[in-house]
Formats: sequence, structure tokens, C-alpha cells
Amino acid sequence: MRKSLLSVLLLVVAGCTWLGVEQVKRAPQTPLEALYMAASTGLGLTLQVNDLYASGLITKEQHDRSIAQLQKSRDAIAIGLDAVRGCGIPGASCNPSQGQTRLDQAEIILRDIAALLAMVERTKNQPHAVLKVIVVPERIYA
Amino acid sequence: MNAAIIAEVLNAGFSLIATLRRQGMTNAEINARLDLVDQGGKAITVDEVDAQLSAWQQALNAGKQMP
Repeated sequence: MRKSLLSVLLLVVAGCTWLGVEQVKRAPQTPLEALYMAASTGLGLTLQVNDLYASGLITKEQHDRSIAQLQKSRDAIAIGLDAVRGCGIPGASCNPSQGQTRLDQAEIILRDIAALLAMVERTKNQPHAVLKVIVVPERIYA
Repeated sequence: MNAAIIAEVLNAGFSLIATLRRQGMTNAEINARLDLVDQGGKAITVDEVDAQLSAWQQALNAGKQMP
């Protein structure tokens, strides 16, 4: 009973903290902005997942699965960066469709991780935040 | 109340708050950089994205080495 009350109290405090958490102000407007925001968000999620595991709030299985997915996401974004990087260099390989596919994959993975975080009630609006920073591919390559 | 229970709940609570704060810091960093762009500053470069990807990989490697 007391544990429950203490937990509720802490959740209230955390809720107040959440209300004060700064949100991303706008969607990215260029491919590089999208990649930068995706990479920054992925880095933040990875640090959070590591922290949650270190604190014992997620299991080793959840942590390892998250890290594996985040690695896929990171690799996908890296390939997306390569695809975009080539577009600004005359004669270099430029493959926006590949970049689009990779960003799609990265978005799905990051949403999965965000869902995991939401599941443990640590970041309630994370999926929305992630969606905001992972740009819709058509906007990038229009 | 059992001290172990108190410690467990406090640990969970502080971790939760730390996680939220970290997310806020990430968003704040993104916003600060976007503000710079919006104010006519230097656009985000490939090198900056590369740097973020490198930092991300380091965090992933640290996670993989956790027991």
C-alpha cells in the first residue's frame, strides 16, 4: 500500500517533469536536417535505453533487443546520409530512393523503440516526438 | 516501510525523471541548432550528421558491452 502511494507520488513528480520537457519545435526542412534530427533522437533514445537498463527498469532482453534495433536504425540513417551526400557532389553516386527507403526503415525502428519507452511509462509522447523529427520522405526528396 | 522497497521505488522514480530530462536535453539541442539555421546561420552539414552518427555508434557500443 505504502509502496503504491510512493509510486503514485513519484509518477506525479515525473508528470510535472514531463510537462517541463522541451519539445522539438518544427519539422525538418531539408534532408540533412532530417538526418541530423533523426541521428540526434536515435542517440538520445540509445542513452535512455542504456540508462533504463542500468537502473533495472527494463530487462536485459528488452535492452539487447532495443540496442539491436537501434543499431539497424543507425545503419539505415548512415546509408541515407550516404545517399544524400552523393547528391550534392557532381559525378558522385546519388540515390534518393535508397535514402527514402532507409529513412522509412529507420522511422519504423525508432517508433518501436519509442513504443518500448512508452510501455515502461517513461516518455509518454515519444512516438509523436519521433514522428516529428523523422521527416516524411516525400518532403525530403520532393 | 521496508528500506529496500523505498530504495526500489525511489530508484525507479529518479530514473524516470532523469530519462525525461535527457529527452528534454536532446530536444533542446535540436531546437538550438534549428534556431541557428532559422536565424540565417550555417545550415546543418554532412559533417555534423556524421558526428551525431559517430556519437550514436559509441553509445550503442557502450550498450552492447553492458553486462
